[in-house]
Amino acid sequence: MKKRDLLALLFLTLAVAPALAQTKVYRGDTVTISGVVRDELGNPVAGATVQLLDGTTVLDSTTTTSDGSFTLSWTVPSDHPLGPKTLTVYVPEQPSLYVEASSTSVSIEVWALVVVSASGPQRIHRGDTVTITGSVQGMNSGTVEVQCNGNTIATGSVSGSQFSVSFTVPNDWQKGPITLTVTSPGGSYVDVQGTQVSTELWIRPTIEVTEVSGG
Amino acid sequence: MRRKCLVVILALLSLTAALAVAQTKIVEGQLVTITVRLTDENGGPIAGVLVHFLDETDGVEIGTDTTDSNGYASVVWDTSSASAGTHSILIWTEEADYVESTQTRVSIEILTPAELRLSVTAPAAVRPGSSFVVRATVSNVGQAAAQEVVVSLDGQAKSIGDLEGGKNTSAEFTTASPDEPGDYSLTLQASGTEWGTGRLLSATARVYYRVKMEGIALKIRAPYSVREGETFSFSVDVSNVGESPVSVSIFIELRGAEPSEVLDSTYLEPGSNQALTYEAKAEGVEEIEIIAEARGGGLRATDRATIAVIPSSPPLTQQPNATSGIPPPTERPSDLISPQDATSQSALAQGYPEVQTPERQGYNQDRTISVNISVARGRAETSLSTAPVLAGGGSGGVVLLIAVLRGIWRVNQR
Repeated sequence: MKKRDLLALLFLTLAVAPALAQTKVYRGDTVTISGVVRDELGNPVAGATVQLLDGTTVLDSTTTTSDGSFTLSWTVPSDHPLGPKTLTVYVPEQPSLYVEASSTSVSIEVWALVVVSASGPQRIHRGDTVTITGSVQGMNSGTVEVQCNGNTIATGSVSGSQFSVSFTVPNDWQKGPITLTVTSPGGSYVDVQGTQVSTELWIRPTIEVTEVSGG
Repeated sequence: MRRKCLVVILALLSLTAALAVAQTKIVEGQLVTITVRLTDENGGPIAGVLVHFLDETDGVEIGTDTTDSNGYASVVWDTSSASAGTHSILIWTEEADYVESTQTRVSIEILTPAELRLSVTAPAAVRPGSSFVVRATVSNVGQAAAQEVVVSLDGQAKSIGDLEGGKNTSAEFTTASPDEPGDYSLTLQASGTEWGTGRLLSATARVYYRVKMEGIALKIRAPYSVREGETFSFSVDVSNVGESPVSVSIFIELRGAEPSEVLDSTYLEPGSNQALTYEAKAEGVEEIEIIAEARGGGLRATDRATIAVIPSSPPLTQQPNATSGIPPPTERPSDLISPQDATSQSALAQGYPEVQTPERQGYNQDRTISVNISVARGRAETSLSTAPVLAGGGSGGVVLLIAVLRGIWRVNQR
């Protein structure tokens, strides 16, 4: 799973650090938040506890190093709701260090990544009924589309991440290599990584004897 | 309008193609053009595809051709060395340029060329100037049909139409033999054209035949007179004046004598004659009439003679017989008529004029006959000369010229 690095700078002297730009993360990705805890004078604070919170839920916790830096990480669950999400980097009050509590927010967007894999016949003919089969990672239901030259020629349903889509080869397709794109319409906060199926359209000729004549 | 015309033209072209394909019979030696068209699923032409033509029957590749822009490819097959019979021609394409392989077959029957044979049958021998039938049998010993076959003989032409391979048919001609005996021949010709190629076909046959003279002659030899109640002899000379042997049946009717009729038969080689002698007894009549008829080989000849019956009273012109006092019957000279002379009483052939012996008017008369016969078609002329001999010492000569025209041979002697 991918790892998303975020930087949080905590200024103990500041209540909240400026929010970072929203970061796109996919389900399963591990989000990493790094930062430095400093005092009002800008000096790093070592040994301070830093937490990553989802609301009140502690997602990760660590202690700053001698230079005040820290790294927090969180893996987005595969069933995590899609959409924007705000995480909180929180430095609780630590009397032993004479550090008061402080926090800053990190905004992310949770996306789903759908990966389609498919296969089909190597050779097709006009009028043939061609079936494309495959699977979809990251999506247990929904639809897939088979496209040729940007035109959708067939759609099918995903069932248990599997799909099978059939279509009839049009009579106006020209002989030669054909590239079929298999994708899904996707949706909000869903990225689709389609696939291509390469095939060849061959002509099935008819030979007819038109004349037998003696001379 | 132009579109309609185009549609009609295309329809006609399609029909022509269909008819052309239906012609799968080829005469051996013909150059056969085989044309194919390669099309895609939409009926559109496929150009640039190599097409192979293979004679599967003889295992010979006929040739290859690449389809043109209209999808057509063709080869010309020289069938000179092809075996006779049905050939399976495999036509196939190689897979190339996203066009799959395909194949088809066409059956072509190679026929052996048409060949006319002519055989003729005619009588081995015919009579002069006679009509006879010549039968010509035309056979086509090839497999290709012979078309518009005509058989001709001496300007007579008979059309027998088309003659399929292996078939034969016959035609009859009626012709006439020459007037002169001898050996002759007839030449018949059959002609036609070969199906598929238009090649001219002909056959000639000659038949030999002989024109032969046929005929039988009949002559009664009898005394001029006999006595009443006397047993007398008479003979019938039968001659074969023809060129073939003949079996002759003889029927003799006697009026005024016993027996009243005689039946006999004999066999005569060509040119031979035979004298058949009989006896009869004169009845009490004034005159005995003998009528003889000979039949054989479709021929017929007759003769008639009369004999005066001398009553018991003394004869008028004869010297008294030494034993009976009655003058002896007058005998006819035995050498007055030669076998050749008898030809005058012959019928030369069936359908020819019957030759009748001159009918006797008197009882004391005899004659010498010489006959020359010349025969022409449809008629015969005979000149006959006789030398009458008067009974009772009287003698004289009469020369008769007998002309027999168109079936009427009749000799009148008076």
